[in-house]
Amino acid sequence: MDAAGDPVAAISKSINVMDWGLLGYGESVRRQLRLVEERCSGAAGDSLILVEHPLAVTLGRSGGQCDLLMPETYFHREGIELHAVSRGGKATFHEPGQLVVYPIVRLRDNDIKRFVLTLLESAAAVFQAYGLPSEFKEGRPGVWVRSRKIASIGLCVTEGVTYHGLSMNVNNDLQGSRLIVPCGHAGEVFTSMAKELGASVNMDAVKKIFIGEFKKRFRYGDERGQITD
Amino acid sequence: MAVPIYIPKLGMTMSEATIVEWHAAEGAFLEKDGIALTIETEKVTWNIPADAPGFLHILVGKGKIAKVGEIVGQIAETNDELQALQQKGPAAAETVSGPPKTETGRAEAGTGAADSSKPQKAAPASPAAKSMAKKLGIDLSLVTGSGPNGRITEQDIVKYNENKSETRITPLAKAIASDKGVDISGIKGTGDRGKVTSDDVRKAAEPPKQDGAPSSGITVIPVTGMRKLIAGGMYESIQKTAQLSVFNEVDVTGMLEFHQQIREKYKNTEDARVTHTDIMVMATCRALKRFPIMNSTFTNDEILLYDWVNMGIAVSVSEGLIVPTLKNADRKSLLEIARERKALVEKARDGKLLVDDVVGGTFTISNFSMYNADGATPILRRPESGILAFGGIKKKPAVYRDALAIRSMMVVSLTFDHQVTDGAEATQFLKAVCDYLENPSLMVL
Repeated sequence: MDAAGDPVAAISKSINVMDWGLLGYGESVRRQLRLVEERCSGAAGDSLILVEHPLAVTLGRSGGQCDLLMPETYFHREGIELHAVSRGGKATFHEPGQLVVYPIVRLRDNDIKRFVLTLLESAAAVFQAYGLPSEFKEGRPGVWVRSRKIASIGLCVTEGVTYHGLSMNVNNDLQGSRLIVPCGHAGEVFTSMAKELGASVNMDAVKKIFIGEFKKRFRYGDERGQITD
Repeated sequence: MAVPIYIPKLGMTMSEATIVEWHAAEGAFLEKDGIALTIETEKVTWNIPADAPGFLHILVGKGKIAKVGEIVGQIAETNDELQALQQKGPAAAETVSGPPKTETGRAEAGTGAADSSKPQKAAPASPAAKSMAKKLGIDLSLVTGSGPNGRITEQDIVKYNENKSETRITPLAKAIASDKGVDISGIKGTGDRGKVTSDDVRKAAEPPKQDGAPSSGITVIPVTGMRKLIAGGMYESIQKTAQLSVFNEVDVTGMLEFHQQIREKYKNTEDARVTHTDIMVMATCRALKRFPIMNSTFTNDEILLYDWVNMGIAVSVSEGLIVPTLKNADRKSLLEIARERKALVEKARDGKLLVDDVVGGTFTISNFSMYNADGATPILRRPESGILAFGGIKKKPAVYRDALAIRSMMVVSLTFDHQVTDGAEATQFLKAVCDYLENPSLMVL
């Protein structure tokens, strides 16, 4: 599963890494769309966004209400954000303690499968750094540790520019997973790094490792500027 | 010459993609590089732009799977070419039902001239705003500027675009609305994710029916909320499992006597009021412990057997049906089951169930004896592999101890997932449930 033999995807040599901290899901989509516009018009280069979201459930293009385990009224009543979004895939959840990464990148070619794989491998390398062996499944993009799902993916590509991205369960308590049929697969069990390791993990360290792995695998040179909030 | 729209190869191993949305209706005019459709392949959606301006002819409709390289649509240069294409192959998606030539012609003019129908002169705009408006295809004359002297800023464009996108509309519908002078903001879209379609606009353009005018005789009930949830869940269950139902008629005279004894013993203890459903829960749990395969989840690669039984109990509520789960029901006494089930049913009827109360079910029962139906073919609740339905109890002539007698009889129906197990095991499980109901004292063993 290692794609390191070839240079992958990105045209740009540099990438602007941004840490948005804890940000509402809806606002993060608005910000992403602005960056996509700028990337498409050439006003901006590639970006890598790192963010955590308050509890939210999102339904991708192939998702429907049958992927929710509670009626919509429950989400309204409990104040849980529920969004239908343009990425691929079905239902997923976000919550604090989960690291979400959104690469807004112009693809070098149309090989989106390789892009997805390289992105998943960047996440797997983070888990590996903590001694957690990663597993992949044919035809089901994601990362599993000991048969439990630890990272989920869902992307959208418009005019050759990617957005949406990958979520990695780091310290989150996985409460959100109980609201959905994950990615349409009933019976899927989720896990997090904290759960597998038996102790919470330093999020800043996880971010740093991920950025390094991502840049290495996508052949980015120096980071432009500092990590900004 | 029509320009084909085909499924691109987005990776060495990609062989097909799902068409998730056509961004324009059949016959609508597309600008060059405007997004024609969105496809999805393994967790990625991909927007495909039009390679040339022209009229869209859809060959493969929304929701269909198409092979890499397959031509899924065509862009006709002229209206005549469009009609020729439409005659050759049926449009798969939203078809404009017999559009008179002039209407399509107007649609074309409408799309191009939709903005010119508002002939106000545009206010001055900043270069950044102009460039953004061009990119987003926004007519500056429609934007109100918030800068000095009404100058349009980038922020105004962003705001206009956000508001504009609230009403999602197909290009053809937009053109017709502009042509007929219909205000689209009040139209409820019936297309994908509430997108306003040309039919919606035509309907909105019709004059309201006069009193006494003949009605179509059809009442339209929008499918929303719990109904939608149930509809989606049930349909998906049928699509993703191999369901088979088996039935047994059981003599429940013994169960009724057992129930009567408990009622008398605890008649002064309100919170220990045991019902038939509670006895059914207990009997089912006992049988599941003997046939653990019925208490499982099929995941394509594996079958997960659960050590515990979280019993889903179907409860009818005013909006439909909800299934709270009684956790670890196999480890509880009959009185504990009765108390917890009662609390769950009350919460369900008061709309106070929490996520914890409805998730994690491993098996479901539905007691519809009050509805006087004999049997049913209940639908599995994914990811569970079995569901039991208990029918109405009726006095019938039956053979009891080798003699004809009047006994209380009930039909028990089991639906199971044939991916998980086979008829032999499922019928043995059903028999075990029935044995416990026939002779509840066996449950203590």
